[in-house]
Amino acid sequence: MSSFVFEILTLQKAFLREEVSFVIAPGQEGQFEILANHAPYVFALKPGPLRLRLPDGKDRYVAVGTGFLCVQKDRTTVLTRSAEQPHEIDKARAERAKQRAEERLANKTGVIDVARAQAALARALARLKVVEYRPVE
Amino acid sequence: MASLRDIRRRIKGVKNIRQVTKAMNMIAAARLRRAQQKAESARPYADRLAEILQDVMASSGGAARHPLMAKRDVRKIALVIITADRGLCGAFNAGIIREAQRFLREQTVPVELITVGRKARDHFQRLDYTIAQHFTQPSRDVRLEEVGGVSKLVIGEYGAAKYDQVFLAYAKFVSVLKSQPTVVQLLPFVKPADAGKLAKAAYEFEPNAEELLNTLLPQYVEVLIYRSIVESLASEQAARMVAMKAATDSASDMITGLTRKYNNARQASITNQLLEVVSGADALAKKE
Repeated sequence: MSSFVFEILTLQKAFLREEVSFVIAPGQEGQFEILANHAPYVFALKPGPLRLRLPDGKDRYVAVGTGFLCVQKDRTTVLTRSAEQPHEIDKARAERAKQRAEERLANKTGVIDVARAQAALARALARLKVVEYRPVE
Repeated sequence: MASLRDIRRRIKGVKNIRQVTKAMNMIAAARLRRAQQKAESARPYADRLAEILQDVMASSGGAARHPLMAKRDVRKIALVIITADRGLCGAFNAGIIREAQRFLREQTVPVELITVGRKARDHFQRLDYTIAQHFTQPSRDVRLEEVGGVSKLVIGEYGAAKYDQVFLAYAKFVSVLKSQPTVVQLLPFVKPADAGKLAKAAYEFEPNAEELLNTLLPQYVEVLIYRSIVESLASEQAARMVAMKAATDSASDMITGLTRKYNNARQASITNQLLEVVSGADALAKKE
């Protein structure tokens, strides 16, 4: 299978740059799979697990925040507010965050709070998914 | 003439101060390096975001409209001023404040201030300006969440038509020896100046261009604010480093001068004492 250059950029650092066979990204309109030679494309990401298949057949997972994925001729770029590898994720903390967000959503206190809690919940779920995927390798 | 003990005490005092300024100089140097790195590592992201933004706007044939791009009659302006929480960094804060004031003088409509960092707030509070909101200076590792407050506020108030234009005053980092206080327009969104080469690639979008702009533009504003805060931080540390270096040098000069004075005084007092002994002996000799 042909491969292409895939990179993840955050404001803090160039997070990742790999040769990959395919990428499955959490688009706002659902999961989106990108193979080599995809047409130029831009779409919005929501917080979630991003899966990339390395040329040797191994999979890697990264938890990404809101952002974009941009397919260009020579490379594919993800721009995101946050990106974390499985070993960087604190599972207990993500679980606490998930619980907190769920509680807040259960007893709604204001419009802004709901949006914030939903965003927090999405982030926590993304992290948990990525952490739990790890044994798959 | 100062007594020997006075001079000795002053030398000790100046030496203590020199120790402090020297430490501050070194701390500022270390922090400067990290701030520079931060500014550096934000660049690929910011550049690519600007690129995509332009591509999206170009591909949609300029048809895409967005509230953050809407030009309105200007009745009220917001100015975000980024300064430090602390002083002892040369003319850093004063420079930004002066630039902000020049901007304020030129405006014909009311301007409300949003201050980041204590120095700007303290200054403009004294002058009775309206400070809509104050943020403390973000910590040294400038997390995105700390910046988010500013961009959310700005975008929210602009969207709600409370302000019709938003400007940003900050110290652009040129080099270690030079920072440039600058005022730039944040909103309505203006195309980045380097919009020279348009990508020929026709993009497809998902969702459509308009909705994409919905997420792109706020992020871009956030990035602009983040960048200016990081650059201000680097400028501040550079200014502090230079100021503390100068302070350390002049403390050293003072110590040299004082030591010379001290030695002179010591010599003089020895000479005096000798003279007394000799003339005493002379007087005794004459009597005999």
